[in-house]
Formats: sequence, structure tokens, C-alpha cells
Amino acid sequence: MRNVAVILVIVAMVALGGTEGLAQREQVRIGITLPLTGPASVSGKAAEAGFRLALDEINKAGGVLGSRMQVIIEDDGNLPARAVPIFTKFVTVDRVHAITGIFGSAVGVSIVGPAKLHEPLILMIGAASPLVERGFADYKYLFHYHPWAYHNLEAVFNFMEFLRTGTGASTIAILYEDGPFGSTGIDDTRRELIRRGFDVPFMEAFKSGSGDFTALLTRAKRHPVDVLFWIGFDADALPIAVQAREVGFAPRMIFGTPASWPVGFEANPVARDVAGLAGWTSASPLAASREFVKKYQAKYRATTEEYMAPMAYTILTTLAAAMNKAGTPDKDRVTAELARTDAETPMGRLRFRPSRLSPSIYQGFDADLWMVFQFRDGRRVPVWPTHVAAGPLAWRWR
Amino acid sequence: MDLFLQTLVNGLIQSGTYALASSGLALAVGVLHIVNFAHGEFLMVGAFTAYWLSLLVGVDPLVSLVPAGALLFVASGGIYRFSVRHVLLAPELNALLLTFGIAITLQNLAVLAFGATPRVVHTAYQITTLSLGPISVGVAPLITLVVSVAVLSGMYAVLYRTGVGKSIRAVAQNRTGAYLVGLDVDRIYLLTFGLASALAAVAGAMVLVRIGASPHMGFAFVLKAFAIIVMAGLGNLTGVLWASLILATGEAFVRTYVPGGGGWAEAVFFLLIFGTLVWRSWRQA
Amino acid sequence: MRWIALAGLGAALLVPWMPAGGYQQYVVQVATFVLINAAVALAWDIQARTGQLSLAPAAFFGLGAYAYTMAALRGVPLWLAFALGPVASAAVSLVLGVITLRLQGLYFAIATLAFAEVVKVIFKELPVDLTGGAVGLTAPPLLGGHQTGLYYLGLAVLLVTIGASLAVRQTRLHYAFTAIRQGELTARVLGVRVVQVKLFAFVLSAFLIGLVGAYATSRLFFVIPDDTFGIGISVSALATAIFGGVYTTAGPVLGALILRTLEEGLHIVLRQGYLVVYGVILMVVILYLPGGLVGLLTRRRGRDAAAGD
Repeated sequence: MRNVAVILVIVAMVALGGTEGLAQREQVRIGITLPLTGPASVSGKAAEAGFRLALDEINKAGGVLGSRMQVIIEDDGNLPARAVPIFTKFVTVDRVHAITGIFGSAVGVSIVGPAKLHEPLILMIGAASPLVERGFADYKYLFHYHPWAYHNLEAVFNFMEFLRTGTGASTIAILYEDGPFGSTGIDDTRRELIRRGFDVPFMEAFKSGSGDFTALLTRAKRHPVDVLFWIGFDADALPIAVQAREVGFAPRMIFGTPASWPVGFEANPVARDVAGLAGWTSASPLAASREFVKKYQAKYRATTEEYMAPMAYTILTTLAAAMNKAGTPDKDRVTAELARTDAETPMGRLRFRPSRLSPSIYQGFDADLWMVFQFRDGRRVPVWPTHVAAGPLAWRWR
Repeated sequence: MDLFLQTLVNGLIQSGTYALASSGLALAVGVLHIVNFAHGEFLMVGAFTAYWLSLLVGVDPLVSLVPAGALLFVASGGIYRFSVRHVLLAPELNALLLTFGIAITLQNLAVLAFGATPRVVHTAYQITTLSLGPISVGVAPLITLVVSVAVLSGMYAVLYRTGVGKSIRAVAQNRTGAYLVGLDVDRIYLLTFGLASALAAVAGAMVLVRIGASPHMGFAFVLKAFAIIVMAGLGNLTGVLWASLILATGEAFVRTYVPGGGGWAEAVFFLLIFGTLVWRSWRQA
Repeated sequence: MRWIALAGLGAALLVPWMPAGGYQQYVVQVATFVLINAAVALAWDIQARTGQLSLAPAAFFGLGAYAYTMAALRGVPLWLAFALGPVASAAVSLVLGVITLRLQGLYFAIATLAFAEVVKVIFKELPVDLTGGAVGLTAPPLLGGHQTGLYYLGLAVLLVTIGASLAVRQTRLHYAFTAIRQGELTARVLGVRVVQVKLFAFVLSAFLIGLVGAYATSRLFFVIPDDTFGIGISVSALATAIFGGVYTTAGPVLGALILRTLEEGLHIVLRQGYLVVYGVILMVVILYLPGGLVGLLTRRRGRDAAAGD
């Protein structure tokens, strides 16, 4: 009888030992911090949609390292005061294998401290300010997918040169919102444009959302301007377009770079041929993009124009692929694999290169991410660069 | 000279928006001493009302002024009855916190219901411009100016030329005294608060045409509105027009003539207010 | 009340050592932000006791933050830069206090608000190499960024503020403050040195807020005009103080603790729409507890209310 008991105990212990071994193959957990409330929530929610779409796909294909991938999504409201505790919670409580999201630059800067303490693997979806790049100097585990602010400007410069080649445009008036979004590097922007041979006779700051541009536009009118270039937010799109007409200011193109546009703008006649900058549009002819749009439509029964959605989708799918290839959630191995990424994404080809100001950071998309579209017939029609153009550039007004 | 005149006109036209947005608050705070932090959110609700009426029924925002105002009149009556009424006799700070709570609630209900993205409408007169020689004036903001002048002079007329107005002024001067002479003080507060909120909604409908509607739009307006009515002097309704004019014109001139003025315009706005308040306080010495 | 306060202090001291398992650091960080909110609200309250409704906390917070940052970035030793924050705020507040001496009620409030907005724009528009412009500056952390150390420093800042509040409460200054709040003219007639007292309250409050501003910056590593001078700071300070119970020491502190915990809690329970509930709670509390939270506590005790004199 006792022998049977001993054998049973031994069998039980072996079995338990076996399950211990099974338990070692723990689920991969990813922490995601996004602005799901507050003024940045449009982008944050778009990113969440992209992440969840990717998650579904990844888990349907077998998950990561043999089990389902799990995400923990938290709302930081784009506030450092929230983001810092969330980041710490991800590392110390949830024990995630990687942290992603991080949309705003203020959030990006604020997590430098806690990041350096724990050194988790970080994949940033936003945070374009050079302050973030410098803050993370010498950090070994940061993948910055989003272009830096200077990349955004590079894209603008390239577009302006394209305009000049095609239409002879050479005079640019600049309006920029007086917060960090509009003001980052604005003086350098002007200097660079002048260096490239453009004329910038007018550059002024405005308070976003105030809706009062008549005085500034009246002043701009005193110069013969080819392009009105404005950097602001969605709330400024309509007032600028309307009031330019009101004061009789007629540049040949109005080119704005808000992160998103107001609902109903494309249906408004004043929007006709207004140009905007986009990281991606659903009209993109790239194969990966059409795939993404189809999948998005299937899951959410809607389309999106927010580039944060495919960006988030790309982040999670490339991360999962890298983890599976590495065969382990160990951050050094995953980093090595992720760094080798060469993928066709909805936004084009993605490869990582050392970041310009902080070479230890892996920089993903650069100026080539950006495309210019024009509002036409209630839609956004990409017009530049030529390989994604779905229509001709409209150069009008005079 | 042309530039000077045009700048003057730009300021004049913009002052209409300021004055209209402040008029309701001038009534609530200036006359009845109800510190209504939620004024901006009432404006926002008015803007969204006009937006939905425009989108779903095709009604022009100018016409929606009436239903938007009526909606806010009724809704704010409810808000008054269930909350504001109870803090009227409490320290002023309580009304502030209460209306702040109302503001947060309304703002976030709007975000839940409509999402955070601003919405714009298209109206036939949105880009129509009148040309008076070398000066051009947008029709939409001109209408706002006309409406604001009409509203403020109308309010003045009601307050000083009608029986109802007399009752309101009586309550404003001495609540207890008003009770004693038999006025239904509660009803007067209700009506006035309703009217003030309706005016906020009317302003919202006009702002919709000019800028758009978004859940977060209210805060910037309530801030400037408070500043304007205080600069005008609490209880001074026509002063609201003057204050708006000075502030809007100041901003316009700074934006037009000062290099880098675009960024400084807001400082000038608040500096003018600060200066006026301080100067007035010392002058009374 | 005394033993509740001591128990609270004990709990606060033990926060970094509490067995919260993995949540340890998270709790410490949230607690630090509670300390900051509490200190600003309390400092505002001290000056509100003279009846002045100031909306300038944002300006003083920002001035303290920027003084620290700008000094630290120019090589000033960190402890000295830290001390510079409150001094700068206090100096500016003295000037502002004198200028606005004759303003009352809402006029005073709007004047201070206007001041704060002007200061914000100034810091945005000055040359970038001077103040960092609209983009902001990164600030070096105190104590090398050590989390627990920073928590205790924050606690020390709050204790200094509480000390100031109690000192004002227990001395004859309390009567002077209350007299001025209830009627400046009467107070003057009663022999209160109104001008001195008002200025003292204003400057003391600004000094403390500047101290918190400098501390908060060394925690967030970042100053930027839109946020550091944001009107949200002023509004939050006064909402917290009113919610907790104005004109008391415990009120603002309790208010900060409850509000922040409430916000975090609601956020966990209701991902979307938690702010709606938050707003409703603010409304409900002020409707049924005109003295704020503290009013509830003291009413239960049957003592004549320490709040709402």
C-alpha cells in the first residue's frame, strides 16, 4: 500500500513539475499607453483600433511563442502625470515584455526617467519631438516608428521643391499655431526654405481654436504669395479657408498640416483643392494598404483616415513577427530580430536605421512616410509623391 | 490707410463674436451674481444643436438660433431648479464649483456622444463678402455683430424699460427686499438664468458657422467672456460692447502691424483687461 | 482631529514601504502627484482666507518651475536653483499684490487670471535660447531622479505648506484673515493692518506655490508654457480646496487625496465616460455638503463648523 502511495506521490510530483514547465511558457504581454480621452483621443482611439486589429490577426495565426498575445491598454490622456505611473505599472506590476503607444512628446520625455531605470523594450507610435530623441540617447531598446519632427519638415521641403519644379511656385507665407506643435523648429523651417531658394515674406503665430484670422490674412495679402502653409489643428482648417476668401487673399494653394481634419470639411466647397499632409490615406494604391483597409472594414465595418491605425497595426505585427523569429521574449534577442525588420506596411517599406541625433535608437519611418493629398469631390486625393498619386495636382486660384 | 481701415473693420467685426458670447454671461454674473462656469458648455450645446439641425433637417444655423436658444432655455431651467438654486445662498465659491462640475459633465457627455473631432457645416453665405471700396467684410461675422448689438440693446431695453426688467434689477439689488415687496424671486432667477443660457446657445450657433462645433470649444470662450464682462464692469451691459470692441481691435492691430504680433495678440488682450481693471481700481481712490 | 492628522502623517511616511507588491512604484508616483495637488490647493487656500479669489497659482507655479529650470540649465547648483523657484514667485507676487490691492471679488479674480495668461504668453514668445519658447525645456531632476527620495521631498514640501497653514490658523493672523474676508472696511476700522495682511497672505501663498512648482518640475523633467502655466493648475487648486473644504488645513489636503483617488478609481472602472461621473460627483458633493468634505466631518462632530466661518 505504501509503495503505491509513494509511486503516486512521485507521479504527482513529476506531473506538477511538468506543469511548472508548461507554466514557464507564459503569455506574452504588451503594455500600451494611449490618449483615449482628451483632445488627442481621436489619434489615440485610432491607434487602439489598429492595435486590436493586429492582435486579432496575430492570435488567429497562432499567437506569439505558442500562446495568445495579450495587450494591456491604458489611457494616459496624453498627460505625463498619468503616463509616468502607467509606465511604471507596466514594468513593475504587469511585467510586460514590451511597451508601446506613447503618442505625445510630453509623455515621451516624461518616461525617460522610469525607462532608464528598468530598460524595457519600447516601441513608440508618436512622440516626434527632438527632445524625446535626445532624452533617450544611448538607450538600447527603443524603436521609434514615427518620423521625427525634422523628418516631417523634410517632407514639406521636398513637396515645396516638387511644387516649384512643376509650377514655378516660389513664395510661401507661413502661419503656425503658437504651441509646441506649431512652433517646434519653426525658425529653422524658415531658414531652410530660404536656403533652398524660396521666399518667405510672411510668418506669424496664431492661437489655435480662436477662429480669428482676418487680421493675419489681411496682412499676408500684401505680398504676392504662391503657397499659404499653415501648421495647426483641425479647428483651424475651416476658419483659415473661409477667411482667406473673406479678405480676398488668394494664394495658389492652401497647404495645411494638422494631424486631422474636421468632420464635414471635405463636403464643404471651401475645402476644394486645399492640400494636407498625411501619413497615409485609405485611397493609397499600395497592396499592403488595400489589405489593411479590407481587414479594417471587415472588423469594424467602417473606414478610417487616421494614420495612427495602420501605424499601430504595423507595430504590433512586426513585434509579433520578431518575437516569433527570436523564439524567446528576451528583450536583447527580440531587439536584434526587430532591428532586422524589412516589411511592406500600409505606409510603405519599413526598415530600421540608427536615429540621426541618437544613433542607438532604431528609427523606422522617415520623411518618405508623408504624402500630400488634396480635397476633391468630398474625398482626399493623394497627389504627391507620384508613386502614390491618385490624381493630378490642382494649382488654381488665379 | 487702406490697411488701417481694414484692420479697424476686422476688429469691429470680430468684436461681434466676443460680445455675443459674453452677453449671456453678463446677464447671469453681472446682474444675478451667478458665477456660471458652464456658460461655455451651454454655448457648445447650442453649436451642436444647430449642427445637427443643419445636418439632419437642413435648417440653416441662422434659423436654428431660435430652437437652440429655446432648448437651452428649457434645459437650463432644469439645471437651475435641481442644482444652481441651492447654491445661491451659499458662498460664491460653491456656485463656482457646482457650475464647474456641470461644465465637466456636459463637456464629457458631448465627447462620449459626438467624439472629439470638430464638425463644420456649409452655409450659402459662409464665404460671401461685402466690398465697401477697398474694404471687405465677411457677411457671416457681420451678421454676428448685428445679432450681438441687437441682443445687448434688447437686453438693456428689457432691463430698463419693462416691468420684468425692473423685477430682475430689484432682485439683483436686494434679494430680501425683493421678497418683501412680493416678487417671486425664484421665478425671476429661473427666467434670467434661462435667458442667459439661451443667449449662450445663440452665440454657439453663430460660432458654428464661423469655426465649427467641438466638445472642447467652450472653455476658451468662457474664459474670454468672463474677462470681457469684468472689464466692462459687472452689470454694465452696453459696456460689454465697448470692451469687446477695444479688445478685438487691439488684437487686430497687434496682429497686423507688430512683427511677430500673431503670438503677442493674446497677451495684449489680457494686458488691456488687466490694465483697465487696475487703472479703474486706483482711480476710485 | 489631532490623532487623525497624526495617523495620516504616519501613513504618508510609510507609503514607499507599504506592501503593495508590484504596485509599489505606481502607488508612490500617484501619491507624489497627490502631494503636489494638495500643496498647491492648500497654498491657494491660505490666501483665499483673506477673501481674495486668486487665479494666479498657475503663474506662480510656472515661475517657480521656470526659475528652477533656467537656473539649473545654466549651471547653478540644483539645491540653489530649487530655492530660487519660490523666491522668484514671491518677488513677482509682491509686485502683483501691490498693483491689485484695490481690486475685490470677481474683479480681482479676473485681474489675476489676466496676469497669469500674460505671463504664459511672455514665456512662449521670448527668444528660444532664453526660455525655450513654446517648445519648452527639459529640467534636470533633483536627487538624481531617485523615486523614493523625491517622494519624501514632496512630502516635506507639503508638510512645510501645512505648517504654514497651521501657523496662520493658530495665531492672531487667523482673526485678521477672517475679518478681512468678511469685510475689508470693517476690518480696517477694527484696527487690522489690511494692506500688510493681504500682501503677506498673497506672498506667502505664492512662495509656497513656487516651491511646489520647482519641485514638480524636477519630477516631470519638462517645462512648457501651455502646461506649466496652464489655467488648469489654478482651476484645479481652487476646485480641490472647495471640494475638500475651504478655509481649513485639512480640506485641501483631503480634497486632493479623495479627488485623485476618485479619478484613478473611476478611470479603472469606467474606461470611457469616467469624467462624466467625476463631474456629477463634484456637483453632488457641493450641493449636499456646502462646507466640502471637511464640513461633513466637523458637522458630524457637532462642533460649530471650522469651515465656512
